[in-house]
Amino acid sequence: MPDPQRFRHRLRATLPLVVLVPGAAVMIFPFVWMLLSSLKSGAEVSHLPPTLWPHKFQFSNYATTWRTPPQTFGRYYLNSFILAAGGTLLKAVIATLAAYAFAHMRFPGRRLLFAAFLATMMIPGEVTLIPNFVTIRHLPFIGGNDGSGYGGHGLYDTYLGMILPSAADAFSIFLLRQAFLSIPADYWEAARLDGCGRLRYLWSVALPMVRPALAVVVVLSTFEYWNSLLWPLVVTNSEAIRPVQVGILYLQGEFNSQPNLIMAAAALSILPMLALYLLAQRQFRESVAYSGLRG
Amino acid sequence: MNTTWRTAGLTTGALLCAVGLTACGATGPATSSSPKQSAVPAALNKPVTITYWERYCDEGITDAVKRFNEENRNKITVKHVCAGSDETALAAKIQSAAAGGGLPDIATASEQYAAQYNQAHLLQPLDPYLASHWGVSAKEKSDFFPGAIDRTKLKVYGNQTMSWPFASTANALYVNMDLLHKAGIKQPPTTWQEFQSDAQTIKRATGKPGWVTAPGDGADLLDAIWSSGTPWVDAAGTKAQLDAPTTVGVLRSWQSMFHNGSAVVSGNYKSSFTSGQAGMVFASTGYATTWSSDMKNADWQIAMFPHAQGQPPLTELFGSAHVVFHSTPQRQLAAWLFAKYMASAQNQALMCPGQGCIPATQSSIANPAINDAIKSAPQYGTAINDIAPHAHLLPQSTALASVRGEIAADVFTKVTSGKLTPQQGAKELQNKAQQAIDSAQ
Repeated sequence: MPDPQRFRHRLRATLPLVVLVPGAAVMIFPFVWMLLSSLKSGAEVSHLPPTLWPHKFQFSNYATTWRTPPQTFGRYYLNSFILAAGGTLLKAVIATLAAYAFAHMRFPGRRLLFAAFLATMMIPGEVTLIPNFVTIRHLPFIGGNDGSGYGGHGLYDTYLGMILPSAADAFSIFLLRQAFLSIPADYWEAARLDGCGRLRYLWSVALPMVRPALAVVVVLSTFEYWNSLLWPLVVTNSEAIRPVQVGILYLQGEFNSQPNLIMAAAALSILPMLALYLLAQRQFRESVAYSGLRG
Repeated sequence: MNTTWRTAGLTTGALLCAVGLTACGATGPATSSSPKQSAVPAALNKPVTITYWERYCDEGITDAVKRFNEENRNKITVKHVCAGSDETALAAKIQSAAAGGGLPDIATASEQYAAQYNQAHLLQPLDPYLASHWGVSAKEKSDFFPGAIDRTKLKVYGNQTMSWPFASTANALYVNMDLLHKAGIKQPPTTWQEFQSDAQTIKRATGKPGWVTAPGDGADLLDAIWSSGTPWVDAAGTKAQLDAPTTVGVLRSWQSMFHNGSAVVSGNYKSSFTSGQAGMVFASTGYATTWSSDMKNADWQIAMFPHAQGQPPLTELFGSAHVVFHSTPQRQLAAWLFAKYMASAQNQALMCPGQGCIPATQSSIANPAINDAIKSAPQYGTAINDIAPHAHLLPQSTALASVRGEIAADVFTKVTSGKLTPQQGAKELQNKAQQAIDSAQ
């Protein structure tokens, strides 16, 4: 006679798996499809009905993909690393300082300014494209520009030009501000009595306490910079500084697209993100749990 | 498809912003792109470097630029920039540069965007160059296919020559001859009546649809109405003409085909065709070379877009032309010379087979490069010899993008799914197209 309590316990342990395993399979399937398609021949990849398993594994697709764009994928990788690392660092610094100020410092117009920051989240990216371009191009005293921002090209066609417009981001500031608000003011009072300044307190006390929120900012920012396409395309001309997503364009001919090569390029492009996830799995899970964000 | 057109709408809005910003920025010193120079220099005084933005990012174009730079060593250097995966990305780049500076000297553009750039006074008219000793001879001009040269001088450009031929393709009918033969049909259809009847015969004989098409294919609908005798808009581009009996006839025929299963809609319509799952499909002639490897075991042909009985063969010309932006007289001249080189019979013959375009010039056909391409893909020969001479631009209006991408697409879906009768569909098409034209004006 089975023990009903044990049965219930097993059922409780099994039921989530019944839901989660198919769910995980659905989530993983596109990646499996991408990897398998990246190893198919050109004819097989566009065949209907589609095949799941390649008839013949064509590993040379990866070598072809690596060599096809004007710069090799190695160069595009390096550029994307520079964008993702530099952009994320800058965004984390700006968001931390701004969020702390909004949360714990008293100054006139604080609420209004914060509301204005939040309002920028409602503006679609297409609308800010041209104003951002004009700003980047006409920054005074940079890139040969004079004091009025003319005469040179500002930050056009530079890494900084690709990074700066996304470096101050309302969502990151909002997220970190909410995290800072959860820290009681007593901590600051105690630290101040010990002779601690604002920056020292922020670095040594407050920031470690909002680490999960900061991890969300870092993860989302890294993905955002890594996956950016339109802005780098608009603000650069030199192939030598363009990121990996722009490199993939060279595999997408209007009539002679090679889906197997595009899949190989996509697989190559997500590898660093996958590695990042594996390295920072625990922080990533914590950050997702903290923010309630998915996918 | 709809997303593309929505993006096109957004970028159109962005162009207006760009124009506004350009106007606001008039107080600052002029950027290199702002002076409007139209005088044609007698000679290139010193070496010139020009920037070229294009959206195909294709090896054939890279090679053509290299050839040009070699031939013009120490005179003109073209800096080639891959500027987008599609027209909207390229337009976003151009519109940003129009506002902030740094426009290219020459770029590819479809008529829709060329008209917008022209309205924003960004483009250099090419008539002064054509009239000068840098121009083309009457013989060279007559060598262009009519559609290729006609697209350079349009009413939406103020009847000036604002572009120069580059990479053209045309709407064509692709036919799986294996399925046609199984159905006892010997030749691809030439008229809409034959097309409808062949599709039904294929369905009956093979169980497979005779025609597979993309969801909401407004482009083919407007082309079918045009090739049946009625352009979607009048010559002035101000009055929609879609309530004519021609429209009702096309919609009735297509509704009947979808109703009896001889036509189907598929998101993978091209793969459906290349995999032998359907008898016919409409697609650009650009696939004539690339599908030869996908369909090497099948007997397939490319044929002229069908037309109504008693009407001449007619199909839509796709692709891009080159436009020259305002800069300095020397750079404008260099840009014109590059545009002229890219449209030359020799370059078109070398570039087009790899890129999938049909050459802009008729004499390219005699080039060994074209002959080699035709030997490996005979369908490419049909595209050049039989289809290109009948390919023309769809009558232009600033509302064309929204009429084709949204209004005609919507009516196509409603009529083929039985939600509207052909008469109601034609009426809705006419009313909404006219509204779009009026609001665009």
